[in-house]
Parts: sequence; structure tokens; C-alpha cells
Amino acid sequence: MIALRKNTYGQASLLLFIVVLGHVLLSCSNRQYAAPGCTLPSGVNLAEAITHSKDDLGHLECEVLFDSYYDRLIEVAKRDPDMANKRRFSDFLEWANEQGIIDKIQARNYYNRYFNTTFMSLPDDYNVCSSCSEKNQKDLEFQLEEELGQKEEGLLRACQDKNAYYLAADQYNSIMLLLDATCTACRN
Amino acid sequence: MQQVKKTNRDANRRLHFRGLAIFCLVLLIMVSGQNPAIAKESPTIRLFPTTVIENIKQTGQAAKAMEQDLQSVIDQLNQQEELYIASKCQGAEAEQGCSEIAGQLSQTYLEMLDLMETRLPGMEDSVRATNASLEKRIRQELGRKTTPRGLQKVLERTPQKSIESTRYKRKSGRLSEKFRQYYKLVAMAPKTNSGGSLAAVAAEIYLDTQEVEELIALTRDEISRAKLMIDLDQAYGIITPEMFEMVGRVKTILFGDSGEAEGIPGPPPGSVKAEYRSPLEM
Repeated sequence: MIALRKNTYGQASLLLFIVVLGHVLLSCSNRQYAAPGCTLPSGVNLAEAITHSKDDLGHLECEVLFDSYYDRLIEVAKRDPDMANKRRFSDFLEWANEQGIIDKIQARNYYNRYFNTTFMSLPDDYNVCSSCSEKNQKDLEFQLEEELGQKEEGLLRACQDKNAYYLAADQYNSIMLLLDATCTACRN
Repeated sequence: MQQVKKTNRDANRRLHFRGLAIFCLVLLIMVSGQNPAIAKESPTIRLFPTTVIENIKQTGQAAKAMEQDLQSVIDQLNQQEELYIASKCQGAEAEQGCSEIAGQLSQTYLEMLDLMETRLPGMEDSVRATNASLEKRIRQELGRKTTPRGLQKVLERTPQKSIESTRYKRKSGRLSEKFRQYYKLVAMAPKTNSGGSLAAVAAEIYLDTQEVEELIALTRDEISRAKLMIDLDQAYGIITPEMFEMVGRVKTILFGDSGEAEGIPGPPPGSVKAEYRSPLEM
């Protein structure tokens, strides 16, 4: 009699364990915790590389590598240049934002640094005079130069959009001129 | 009866008042619609009030007068210098022909120094006034009223090339010609909607005047030193490398350098397609 009761308890415990395990596994079906092995995309086809990246970034483990995936996608795009790449990157970043991998501000930042003439390195919070200590100005100029390099990769190499890149380069020159003059005036 | 009359009068007064208020409102809307400063949402950047434009004009005129004065003396100096070099006088200064050429060269040099000494103070004042007024405007309008991102927005208002030559890829030319072009650009400004290019022009003139001011100060020091040497009779009749340097410096101030590297090439024509605009664009 006692053995029979023990057996019943054991079966109930096993059943409970299976139910809990099943629940945990089901709740994780959207975000796979099982290690998929995050492999950065390669090749010469951007559409394939983006699909590959989306598959990988769908796993939580790979999310932290978003930067590396993005850099690698730019590299692939440079070997598969096309004006349509702007749209591909925009769609990819919007997808990443919808999936909660990056926020809206980060998505804008990633896109505009590479595929638009607007310089994201230019702060928009305080007036120009407050960015005019010698160190701040040098840092800002360095960041602008770096961003012009990113625009060269995105606009010129990945999209072959010469018009947009030359416009960005022209604006870079004018911004440097205005910054130089304004900061000199602010410091005097 | 009196009560009824009073009520009617009050009602009429209220009606008049309402009519007047509506009229004022309509007038205000019409006026603000005509005035772009009120109608526009973005703040207007005023970098070139009349005083600044006048200063630029005067600087151009002062530079032109100085150039005209000095042109013939510098031409003469160049000819004498060529003759001195062609006659292989370097190292043979004691020879009679060479010492004559050297004497003439030194006299012309002294003449140039005198001319510059007379002209430079006026030029310096004019350049300083332009620099000071622009400095104040740039600090106020671009430094305090604008964010760094706003600077790019100011430039974006004019999609065409902001200015033919900017500081980072500019070619030097005659100072008077430069200021004549600057004057033409800023004097035409109210007729054209070129806020962006004007900001670049203001920056360019401001930095140019600062550079010229420094060069003028250096040149004035040099003139004093050179004249002192001549007074002491140490350099008269002897060609020194400083003399040629001095002439070179004068030429730089007045006529600019040449042969600077070209900037980034312009975009190829006729390759503009319908632009894709991302929702992420800023």
C-alpha cells in the first residue's frame, strides 16, 4: 500500500517536472538560449549576408556582437556595391530596432553615419561656444574626420553614391571652416 | 427705457471692441506673413549688418591703394634682383658693377619700406575693424545662438557649393581682389537666400583678416628692424637674404601664394537618380 502511494507521488513529481520543463522550453522558443555559434557573415552577396546576420542576431547570445555584424555587413556591401544598399541597411536597422536589439537612436546613428550627409558627431544639445575648449574642439574635429571616413565607406564604396559623398565631403570642409572661425571668435 | 438704452449701448460697444480685435488680429497675421523674419520658424542669422559690409569695402579699397603704390616698386625690385643673379654677383659683391646693382637694389628696397610704412597703418586699422566686427557677429550668431549640429543645418540651407574656395582648399589671390569679391557676395546677400554660404563667407573673411593682421604686425616689426639696420649703415649697399625674404612677405600679403593643391573633385554631372530616403534619416 505504502509502495503504491510512493509510486503515485513519484509519477506526479515526474509529471510536474515535465510540465515545468515544457513551459520553460516553450517560453524560450522566441529567443533561443541554445548556443548557435555566432559566425560573422562573409561573401560577396549583401542580401545573403543580411539574412545570415538576422538568423544569428535572433539568438540572444549574438546580440552583443551587433557592432561586429554591422561592420562585417559594410565590408560585404563594399564588395557588392549598389545604390539599393541604402534601403537594405535601413530595413536591417529597422528590423534590429523592432527586435529590441538596438534602440531607435542607435539605429539612426548607425544609418546616418554611413549613408547620409548629416554628421552625427556634431552635438545638438548646447551652443557652439560650449564645445570650444581646445581639447573639445580637437576631439570634435577628430570625430568628424572619422565619420567622413565612415561616409566614404557607406556612400561611396558600398552605394557608389558619388554625389552624396562629395556633398558630405564639401560640407565637412565648410563645417571645419565654420568651427574654426566660431571657436576662435568664442575664445577671444 | 433708460435701462434698455444702456444695454443697447453696451452691446454696441462690445461689438465695436470685437470688430477692432478681429481687425487687429487680421492685420497682425498679414504683417507676420509678409515679414519673413516672423513667418520663418528658424532664427535668422545676421552676420553682415551694414557696418560690417562697409568695413569689408574699405579694407578692399585700402588693399587696392597699397597694391597700386607698391606694384611698380616691386616690379623694379624684381628686375634688379634678376639682374643681380644673372650677373653672378653672389660672392662677387666687391666688383664695381655688382656693387652698383646692389646699391640700386638697396635704394629701391628702402623706397618700398617707406611706402609700406606709410600705407600699412591705415590698412591695419581697416583689417582690424573688419576682424573685430565680424568676430562679434560670429560669436553672437554662430557661437551662442547655434549648436554644432545647427552649423551643418545653416550650410544645408544652400545645397550649392558654399564658397568657391574655403580655408581647407583655398587658393590665395590678390588681397584687394579677394575683398572685392567678398564685398560683392555680402552686398548681394539680401537679394539671394544664401544664409549657408554667407556663414562660410563670414568665417573665411574673419580668418583671413586675422591672418593678414598677424602678417602686417610682423611686417611692421621687420620694417622697423630693416630701417634701423640701414640707419646704422650696416646693410646699406649689401644685399642680405632678409631683403629678399622681406619682399617675399610683402608679396604674400598683397598678392597671395599660388600653386596650392586642388580639393576634392566635384561630383560627375548627370548621374543624379531619384534619391532613396530612409525613415532613419536625420
